Amino acid sequence: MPMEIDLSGKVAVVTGASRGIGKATAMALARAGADVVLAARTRSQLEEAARQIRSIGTRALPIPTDITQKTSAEELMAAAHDHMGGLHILVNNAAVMAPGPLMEQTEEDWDRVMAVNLKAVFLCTQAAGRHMIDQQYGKIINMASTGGVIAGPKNSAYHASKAAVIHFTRSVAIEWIRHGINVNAVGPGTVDTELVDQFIQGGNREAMLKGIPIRRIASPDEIAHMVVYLASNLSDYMVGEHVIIDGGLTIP
Amino acid sequence: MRLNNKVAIVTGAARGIGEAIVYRFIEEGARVTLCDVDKPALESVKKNVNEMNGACLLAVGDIADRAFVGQMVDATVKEFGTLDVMVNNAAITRDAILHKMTQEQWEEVMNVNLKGTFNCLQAAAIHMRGVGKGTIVNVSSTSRYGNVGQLNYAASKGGVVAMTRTAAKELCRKGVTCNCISPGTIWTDMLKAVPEPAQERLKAGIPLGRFGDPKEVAQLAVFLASDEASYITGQTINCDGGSFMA
Repeated sequence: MPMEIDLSGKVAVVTGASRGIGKATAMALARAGADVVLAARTRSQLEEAARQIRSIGTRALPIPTDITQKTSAEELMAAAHDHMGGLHILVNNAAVMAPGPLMEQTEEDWDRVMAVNLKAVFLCTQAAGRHMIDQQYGKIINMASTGGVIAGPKNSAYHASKAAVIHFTRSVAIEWIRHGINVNAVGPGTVDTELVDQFIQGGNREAMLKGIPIRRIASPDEIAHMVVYLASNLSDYMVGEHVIIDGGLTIP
Repeated sequence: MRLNNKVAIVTGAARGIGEAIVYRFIEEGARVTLCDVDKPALESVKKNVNEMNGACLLAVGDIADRAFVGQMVDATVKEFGTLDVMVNNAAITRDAILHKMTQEQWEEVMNVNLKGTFNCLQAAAIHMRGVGKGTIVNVSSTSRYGNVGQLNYAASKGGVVAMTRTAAKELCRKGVTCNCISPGTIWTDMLKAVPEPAQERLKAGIPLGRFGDPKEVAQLAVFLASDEASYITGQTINCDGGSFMA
């Protein structure tokens, strides 16, 4: 039984890896020994994250990608396989928000949220599945959200997309466990990221904290730890779970 | 080591999941009080712990006895200086189909699984909120979703989830978190007692196609007991090979 989580020799793909939870997750996977392929839209931020990972001592491959495009998602997974020598872990982390009252939501807002938060999860999972099913091994961790479990005003597209991710997780989990692929999800509550800043912008931070029993927001690392756990063989018996990390936010 | 210098109590430590949690906690650097009613079995766990160069204290007794539980927490604090992690794992089954279940079967299960867990939860909470830190890991079961022949056990394990959430709410501003593990069908004495044809039927219902190993549940207990789980509270996490996805 290993004393520490050891992911050396494993290759992980993390989407949305240039900032926030994705970057923290990429770094935490690297600290556990994994080589990491980082995907995001902006090259400059991605290069910086890759540089930080290399300083930890593992390999990092930044690939600017629009994961809402099928061919891009396939190229991303192929790059992991061809240039890093494998694909063992996929973290579907990239997500966007279009907060606002429903009556002010445009069709474009809705489509963009669904494209990044849901369709890209499908595309990346399917593209990774080609490699993982071949090797009969894989660990897929989808970044869901407490927003997919409890509702709140003025973020309907995001909430709907995350609820869908949770159920997509379960469906794929039950389909692929026979191939040795564990699919689970992590559900962060309020985390110190730009995405959350975007949502509470103009809102009252104090009032928001009052709604969280633990009275603070999470650091991205507090989410990343669980992703690493789910990426390791320590969690082999966990299948289709959505693990909520929210400081008590969703305890009704 | 992920639990270095932490002090833990594990109830139901003499066998199965509790025993596996003890060994993993010791490997991760914790000092552990082992609680069980079965003294000879507990002695043999202690022997194994000593062979691992681990430190442990034995607490032989019934968690349904409030006085015993109070003494156990006091003795742990006296021996090891504090109490950081309480693992409420001890539980019993007294299976019977509803229309044949006796009052004794109901009461025995409730006494250990609910009242005993309450006693331990409360005694640990009193210490932990006093020092302003600590974490509690309860062990429920996927039987909480309902399981034929286990009305008493299922009710008690549903109660453990409710206690987890309530304690988490009450304690989190005191620096104390409380979570719950919900194991599926794990290869323990409890399962070995099930007739073989029934075992095969159980196995057929697990997407992963095999029973869980107590160590796989113990891993999750280590994670939840470690500082890495600092933002998780009030949660119940299934470890069940995909039988129930939540």
